[in-house]
Amino acid sequence: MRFTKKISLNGMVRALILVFVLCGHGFAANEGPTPAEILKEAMMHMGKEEYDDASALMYMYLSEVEESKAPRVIAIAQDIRFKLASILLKTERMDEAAPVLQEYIEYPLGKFQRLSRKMLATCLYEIEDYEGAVTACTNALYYNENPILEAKKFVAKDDDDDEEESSRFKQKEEEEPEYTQQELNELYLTLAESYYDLEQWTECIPPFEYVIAQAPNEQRKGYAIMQVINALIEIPDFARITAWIPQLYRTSARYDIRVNLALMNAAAALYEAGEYDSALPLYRMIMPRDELVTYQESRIRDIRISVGLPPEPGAEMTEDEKMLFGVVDDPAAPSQEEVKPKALVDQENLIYALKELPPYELDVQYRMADLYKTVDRYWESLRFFDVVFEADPKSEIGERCIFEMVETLIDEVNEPAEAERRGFDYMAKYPEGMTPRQIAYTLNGYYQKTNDMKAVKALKPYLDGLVRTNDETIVKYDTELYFMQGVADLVLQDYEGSEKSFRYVLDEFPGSHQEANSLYWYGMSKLFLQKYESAFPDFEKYIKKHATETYVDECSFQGGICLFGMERYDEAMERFSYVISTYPDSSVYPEACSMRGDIYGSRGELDAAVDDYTRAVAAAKKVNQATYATFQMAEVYEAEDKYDDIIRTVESYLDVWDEEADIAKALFWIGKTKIQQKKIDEAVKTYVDAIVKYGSDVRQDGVDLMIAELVKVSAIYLDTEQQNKLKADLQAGIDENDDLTLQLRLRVLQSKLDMTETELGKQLIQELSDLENASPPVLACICDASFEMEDYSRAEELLLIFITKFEDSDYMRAAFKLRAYGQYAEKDYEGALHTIEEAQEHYGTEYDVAWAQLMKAQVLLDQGKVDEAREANMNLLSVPSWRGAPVAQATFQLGQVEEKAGDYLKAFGFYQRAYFQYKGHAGGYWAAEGYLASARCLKKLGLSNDARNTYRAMLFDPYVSDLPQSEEAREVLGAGEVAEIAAYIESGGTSNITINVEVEKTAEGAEPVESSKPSTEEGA
Amino acid sequence: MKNVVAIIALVAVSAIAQEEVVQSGTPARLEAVNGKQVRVFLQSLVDGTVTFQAFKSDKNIPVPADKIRRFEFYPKYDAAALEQSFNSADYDAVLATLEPLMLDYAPYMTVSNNMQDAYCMMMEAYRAQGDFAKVRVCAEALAQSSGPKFVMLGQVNTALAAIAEGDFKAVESLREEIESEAASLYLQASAERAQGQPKVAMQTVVEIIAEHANDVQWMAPSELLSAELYLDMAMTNSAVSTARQVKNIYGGSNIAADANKLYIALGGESE
Repeated sequence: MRFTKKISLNGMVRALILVFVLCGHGFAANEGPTPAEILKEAMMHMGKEEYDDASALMYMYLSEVEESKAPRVIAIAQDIRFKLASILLKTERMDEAAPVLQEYIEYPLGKFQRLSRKMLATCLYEIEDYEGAVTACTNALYYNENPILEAKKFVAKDDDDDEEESSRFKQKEEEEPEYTQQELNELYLTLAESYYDLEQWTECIPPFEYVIAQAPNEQRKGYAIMQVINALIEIPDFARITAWIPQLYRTSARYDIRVNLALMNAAAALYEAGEYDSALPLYRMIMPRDELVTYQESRIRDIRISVGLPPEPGAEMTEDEKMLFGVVDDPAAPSQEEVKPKALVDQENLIYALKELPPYELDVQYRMADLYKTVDRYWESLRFFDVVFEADPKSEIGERCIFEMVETLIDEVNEPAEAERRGFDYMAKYPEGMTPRQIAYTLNGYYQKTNDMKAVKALKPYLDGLVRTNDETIVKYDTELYFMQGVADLVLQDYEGSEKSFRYVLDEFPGSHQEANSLYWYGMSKLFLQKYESAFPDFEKYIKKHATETYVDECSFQGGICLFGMERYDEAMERFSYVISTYPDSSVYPEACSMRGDIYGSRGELDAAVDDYTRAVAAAKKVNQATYATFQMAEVYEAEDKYDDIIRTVESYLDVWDEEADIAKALFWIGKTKIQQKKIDEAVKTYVDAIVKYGSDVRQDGVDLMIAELVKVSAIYLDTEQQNKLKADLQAGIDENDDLTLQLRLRVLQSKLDMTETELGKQLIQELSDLENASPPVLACICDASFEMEDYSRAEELLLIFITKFEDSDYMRAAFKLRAYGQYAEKDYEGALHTIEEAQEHYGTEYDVAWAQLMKAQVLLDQGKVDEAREANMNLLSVPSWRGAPVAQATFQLGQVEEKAGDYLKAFGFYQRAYFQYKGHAGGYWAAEGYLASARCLKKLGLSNDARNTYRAMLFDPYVSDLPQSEEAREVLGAGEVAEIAAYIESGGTSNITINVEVEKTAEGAEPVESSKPSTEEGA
Repeated sequence: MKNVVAIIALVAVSAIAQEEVVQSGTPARLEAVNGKQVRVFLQSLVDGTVTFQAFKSDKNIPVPADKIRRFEFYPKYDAAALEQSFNSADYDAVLATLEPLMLDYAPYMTVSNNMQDAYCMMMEAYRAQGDFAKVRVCAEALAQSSGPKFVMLGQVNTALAAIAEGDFKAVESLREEIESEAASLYLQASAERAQGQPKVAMQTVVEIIAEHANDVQWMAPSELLSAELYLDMAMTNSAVSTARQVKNIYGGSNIAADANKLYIALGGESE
């Protein structure tokens, strides 16, 4: 009773009932049915497709004949086992079918040895007995190749069978055909799948490979390849995967749902493993879910029609469909519930699973984009990022894509304009969250890298439009972005802007990671604006609040600069000493030394100054730190006539800094020393050679110093022959060099030697459309010519070039003057005062910037600020370096001040002083103006005779009588008197005309210059 | 139609009847549009008329080419070796095999036959070697054939020859005739590249990659074109990377072999 263990309880009950029924049909109750009767009954039920009854009776039959050794009975039993197994498979009672088939295989005289083995394999696989399935498949395949051997083995085991039976058995075995190719494919696929489900990855590959090689069906082939790839991923063996991908790519397996699901998993695994070349084609093969569902639903429809079901579940087939697909009604068929074949159920389940999947298309597209980017295929990545972004711009993945696009456009494909277009558009449309900040940050980084600070500033409206949150990371981004705005202002030298920007960061993002830096640069912005008093507390605050931060040493130093700027020199000295002693390794140490050296120098403590400069040079970390200290030291040595020390210092500087050194400036000092040592020819040669060698660099201010020095040397030390040689050398320099910057420098130098600067300047105004190649002397030459022509049209541009490119150049004074006069001509008084202030800050009371003070007074007077105008003029009088023509003009202007104030007597006093004391200055210009203004005041005072005498005195005064202003005197006096005066002068007569007017002593100390009684004494 | 079928039927009968006749021409099995087949010796194909002699007959029989479904030729060559040469981009070897062979078969390429694949290989080999005059000859013959695959290859290669000659107007009109959008875009990108617009061409290639990712026939050359465009744009790393992917993804094809040549030329390391 081997079967009883396997038969289901249901089967047993059914069998007992059937026995009872059989008895009721005429069998004797005490005898029971014979095996033949049971068999007959079973066959009857089978014929009627009453499979449950049939199988129950078959079980009963088999238990009845189990003990029989008769070959015929055994053969019949085997036939019944096979039929039973077939019924059980048909009714999907796989777990029962398997033992039946197992016995069929083990017993002799079974006709379907190959088929039964294959069925057993299928059963075991279906009931998920994968190990059993592997064994069954292997046995089936082995048996297929070796049927005789297997039969012999069996026969040898069975001692009871005689020769004849064995022979018959063998004959029957040989009658069964070998497996068809399709059956073999199915067996190998079952074997492969069983190994796969047992996770025996290596073992599953050969049977899959067999299927791939033999299966005619593209989808099955593709499925098998996919499974091989999955197994190789599990092993893992990525190298072999690469070989399989092209094959998979050529199949149509992509329409298989299982392949699609597996593709996603495999692609993700390969992606994670960095196997991009393998992952990419897999991602490409994944079909969009909707497309796949549509395709597979049409397949379900086909399957349903092929098995006689309506195309759609629950629907009746139309008559047309019945006619078309040849389906006929079966009145006996159950109508209420569809009986679906397994393939259909499987297909439906797969579609269900597919529909249940969350949308995966965008994820696939994003991964492809990312993958392309990872392998440097940037243009492809851009397209896929764009697809995902456009599909869902607000999603996390969409945001990621727009950021990736902007980054890729900038960093990888050099399309910044497109990056800006996309980035700006996004920031404007989606001002919330992290992504617009990240985009702004990326753009900002690009602008900084390309030094395009104006573009950084162009980001500001977008930043202002971003919606603020308290999210820590977002706040950090905002802080950084606004901080960068300040940095951009700084670089653009818009210090007022940077002051505001850093203030904004400090106010809006208190306690941020950029607080200390913002505070420092806030102070620095003020420092650049020379707001020393305002900047000082910021640096002090930094020191207190951020004592451990980066710029604490800088703040100490800059605090010293503020003190210096506030002219609190003792405190500044103390502060620089503190920096020097506290931060010996700091980058500001050399500068602190230089600053303290400057203070010592200004106090005449030259040794101490030199010591500090020496320290600065020794500690210099940047060339400019060494350069400043070296040449400051040279200045000190020059003051002490220590020319050997100059040479030593400068040569040491050149040795240390080599190519980085300001060689031109060094040569300037070497030349200067040679001049002092009376080695004039050597000095001239040094200068000319250096100018030609370094003069093509527009920023070499040492060359410009040499140009000025050569002019002086030529005038003072060179004879005509030497001067001609110098000019010839310069001309050779022009002829032999193509560089425009050098040529312009040499031409300016020539013009200075020839005293034709103004002509050259006028020529250059015409010649140079842009001033890119113009060095400071060239610019100054243009300024001077413009000034003479009263052409102020390029004044602003010229000054801006100096400020941005040559801020330290001594030649800038010409640009200040031109600009201020231009502004004055346009009555832009505030502008003019600002320029004057700048000029005075740069050049103080140097002789050739007296114009600034004079103009300041004049502007103030024009503005009606009489007292301030008076003070400005008075201030000029007290400056020793402005003695001469400036004082003459100031005196005259003081007269104008008083005249405007209505004090004609006092005004007369100043005018009179102008022609009495300063007639020798400015070619007598101010004296002549003084005469005329005096006469005018006397008339206003009702002293017409004195006024007339003043005109007469003017014509007698040889300093002014030939000047154009004297024409006014001639007109007033009339031709006769003028002729008399001329004749008198001709005869050698001189005048002692004196106009004495009572003038009160003034509070300002403008002492009246004449006595009080108006009288005229005409010399005979 | 009946007449042609009758002729072919007659030829079949007479072929059996006659023997021992010295034959010239290209031996082939001719299949008429009605499915009837006969062994013949092809004499010529001129102006849409095929002239042939029946087996063991020296009588020339003219038949309109459009009444013939297909020729089956009997070439003697190692097809596997040829395919191996082609797929490894050994175009010299391909031409060494096919040029002499095609002397007999080339005149009949407007009719469907079993040598058309080989003819396409020869055309591709000419193209790889830059001999566009010969590409044009092959392409124009294929463009007149009946198989859609060969028609398209003919059209595309005619257009590629036009691109090589700088006749971009002709390319545009040819593109309108091509059914495959991917192929049309491929031509567009090739023309844009030839006109010195690598960025524009790259956008077109990207369109193919994004929208026709599973059109393996045109994806492979398009991706190779992408590698070349990266090179044009001096993005060498991208070119190397793309060439490497093409050789790996399309392994075993001539495009992969071409990509491998580019990859090695750009200093790619063998994997």
